[in-house]
Amino acid sequence: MSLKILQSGMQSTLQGAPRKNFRHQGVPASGPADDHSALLANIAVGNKLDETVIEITAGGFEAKFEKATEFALTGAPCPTSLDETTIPYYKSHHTDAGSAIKLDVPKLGLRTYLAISGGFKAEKFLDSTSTYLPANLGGHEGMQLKPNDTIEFLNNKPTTPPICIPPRLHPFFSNLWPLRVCKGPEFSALSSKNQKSIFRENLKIGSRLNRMGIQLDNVSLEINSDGRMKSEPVFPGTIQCPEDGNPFILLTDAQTTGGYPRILQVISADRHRLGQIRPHDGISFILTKPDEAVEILKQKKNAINQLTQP
Amino acid sequence: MTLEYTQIADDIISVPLSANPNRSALAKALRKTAHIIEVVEGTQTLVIQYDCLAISSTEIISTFETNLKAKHAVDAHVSKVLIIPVIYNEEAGPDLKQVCEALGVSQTEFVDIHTQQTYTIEMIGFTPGFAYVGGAAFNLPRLKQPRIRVNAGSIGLAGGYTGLYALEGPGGWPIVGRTSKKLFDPDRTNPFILAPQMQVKFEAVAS
Repeated sequence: MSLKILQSGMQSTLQGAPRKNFRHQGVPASGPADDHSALLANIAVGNKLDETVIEITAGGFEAKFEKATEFALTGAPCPTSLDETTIPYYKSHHTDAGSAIKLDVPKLGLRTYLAISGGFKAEKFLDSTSTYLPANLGGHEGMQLKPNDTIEFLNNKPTTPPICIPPRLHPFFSNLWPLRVCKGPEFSALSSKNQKSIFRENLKIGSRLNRMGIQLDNVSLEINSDGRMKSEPVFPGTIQCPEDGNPFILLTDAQTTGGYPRILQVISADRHRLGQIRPHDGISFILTKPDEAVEILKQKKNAINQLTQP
Repeated sequence: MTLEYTQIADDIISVPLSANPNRSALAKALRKTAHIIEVVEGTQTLVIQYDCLAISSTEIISTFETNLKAKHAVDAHVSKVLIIPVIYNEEAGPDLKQVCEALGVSQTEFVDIHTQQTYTIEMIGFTPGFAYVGGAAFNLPRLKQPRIRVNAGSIGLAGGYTGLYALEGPGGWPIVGRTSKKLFDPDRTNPFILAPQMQVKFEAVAS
């Protein structure tokens, strides 16, 4: 008996490290849709960076701690209380056995992460505890959490003392998301007009999105494609455009190959933001060179390293 | 031979190479290289995802070219033919009747044609363990409305491919049968029994 789920919201899953080196068998990465926020939650309680956390979608989550522990929240800022007292994110809190946590709906962003000291116990599949819902693998019997589920705590020793995440490292939340991208292998399938305009306009997200992908709406790009492109590898952050001209962005649970032109690829340092985009948000694409993207990632990694290795 | 590498963002690089047994052996060797995260085979390219803070794209290219020159043992499964027993009936293959009508053949004729030849798995992808088996004698369109649930082991036909669904899940291919062979076994070290370049033959069984 450890954490008893009372309300599970729209979708709550256990997510740990992404699966690596299995895409050639059609197995996607999975793991937190916003892995940066999940990592900050783990740092806040002193866990290893990819310890298993609960990913909560659009708030509406309530749970009772049946054992005393330390916990932290990061990601989409839901008004949150522990036994009726409002608590801040990005820092570790102590809870006694019997206390209940309640998350309301966030005003911005989509996914919130709950980490506890030592991590949650979850089923492993291909070396990872991450839940992959389409095939019911990993996590909590491969399923999303539901009321009355009990999630056990692991007794993993924290690797560092709890760390309060300084505000300069809190990711921004908005309803307009700038995304730095590189040109994809089939960028030239876009009309010459769209090859320029795609970096100038704010684009609208539709109502269809999940851990596999985000659909853009009413974009109507002109794409030179007969829909018969052979299937080629795709990754989280790949942006494909079918013949209808409405591109979609792939997330962590996305398929591993795809047959639509790969027009853009979100850079590694910005992929975590995809997990926070909600229906009807806006996005804009900023063209970035691959070597600039390496530098951006390096700076981001250094900031995290300074935090965990003082 | 000069290859044209395409850098896709900071951590992904693509190289044009068509599917063949040597490419699969090369991909397998590259997967064992430090800092390489994924090596995925497409129809016409091989794509590598790597830890770009630990290894540069120049180093990836030179590692790739060294491996390209080396001789890699082609997997033994490539020369063997795996028999896949298939139940072809309307319960196992809910679209079998419509497929036969569209092709203008009887169900017996369809089964005879589909089980006649030896096929090569061109690619594993899309969803876990889904196999694209090349060389189907029929070029059928996808279903207008994809199914939300297709049974594990289902055999679909679309666009000149036979598709094998290793797991239960959504699917848009017309389903003509189902294999009793377990294509996915989470308890095995390698849970997926199918791999690119493996040769397969379908065999009609009653159940």
